[in-house]
This record gives sequence, structure tokens and C-alpha cells, in this order.
Amino acid sequence: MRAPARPASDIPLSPELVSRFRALIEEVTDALMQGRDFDRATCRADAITMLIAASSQIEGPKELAESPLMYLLQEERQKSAALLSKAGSAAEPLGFVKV
Amino acid sequence: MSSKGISRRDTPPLPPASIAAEQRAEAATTRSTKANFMQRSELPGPPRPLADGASPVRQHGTLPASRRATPAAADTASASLQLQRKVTDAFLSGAHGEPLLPHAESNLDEASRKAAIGYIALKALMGSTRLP
Repeated sequence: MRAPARPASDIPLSPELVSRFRALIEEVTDALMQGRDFDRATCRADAITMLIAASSQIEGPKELAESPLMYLLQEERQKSAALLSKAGSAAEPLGFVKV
Repeated sequence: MSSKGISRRDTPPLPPASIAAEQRAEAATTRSTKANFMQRSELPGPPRPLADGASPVRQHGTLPASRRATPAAADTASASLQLQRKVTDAFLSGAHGEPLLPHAESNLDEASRKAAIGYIALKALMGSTRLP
């Protein structure tokens, strides 16, 4: 009998895999940035979106729900969004704040 | 001590007619062998094209057409290109979040190729190294 599936967040991943996963994000970011003068953090967010798109094409719907890689990607996406919103708020002061 | 074996001296000498016949036969055999050898060792003509239309003379630094692209390799390349396009389309369609920047097409192609190959490699690695 098949064991019940564990949530993706509970599956331990090797440090090597996590470091390779991060290296892949940087590699895709580099490919997107090539020859362009874009902000790296924004390109990195797009690279994560692209990897999510890749995972949805490669994995089946069931695998996708249980994939630890997808979990890592969602986590990276949240971090990236937080970083971008922080950078955005620092760069553009709100109009109602008196300087 | 006498030898019981047959020696050349024991064989009776051939009559002159037999010697002549033997010499003629030997000469005929030599001529025939020489003719066969000449026939076989004649210089080849210009190289004939192979069955697949490729030149039998190998160009420096190239492989014969039959070895350049096997059907299996072509299938793999085609599947890889299809996957790359699907990834690009899924990215641009915004199904997983709108792209934040207007990326160049060539950059998108390269990035989606790397994303697909890298993801598959990670998945394979995860399968082989997942901790218990």
C-alpha cells in the first residue's frame, strides 16, 4: 500500500540540491539579463516566474502539488516580492509624507 | 643404419615427357595467378556515392551524414525545443504571474531553455539524493 503523501514543506532536501536550485535561479536570471541594463532583483523575480512556468510544463498536476522544488520556488518568490516591495517603497517616497 | 622412409633418391626419375608436361602446367598456373592478382590490384576508379547520397571521401573535420544526426538525437532536440517554447509561452501568458520586464526574445529563448534543462536536472538529482 502506498504511504500517504507528505506536504512538500516537510520533505528534507539535501544542502547540495538547495544550492544547485539557487544557482539555477541565478543562471536563468543571467540569461534574462544578457545585454540588458535591467535591475537584477526584478530579473530574478522573472526568473523565478519562469522556473514556475517550467515546472508546470514538466510536472503533472499531482506531482506539482507535491513537488519540493515548487515549494522552494514559492518560497523564493515570496522573498523576492518582499525584497522588491521594500526596494520600491524606499525608492519612491509616498506622496502624502511631508519631507 | 638404413632408412625405411622414401627419399628422393628412391623415387624413379620421371620420363622427359612428364617433366615437360609438369613444367607447362606450372607455367600456366603462374600466368593465371598473375592475371588474377593484376585484376584484383588494379587502381580503383573515382569514388562512388554512398547509398544515402553522401560522398565516400570524408571531408576534414566532418562526420558522414549517417552519423551527423541520428533520428533519436533529432527527436530529443525537437522535444527539447518544444518544451522550451511551452515554457516561454507559459511565462508570457502570465499564468504564473505577469513578467515584470519586457525581455528580448533571444533572452527568453535562452532563459526558458536553461530553466527547463535545469529543472529536469534538479528533479533527477532530487530523485537520487532525497534524504530519508
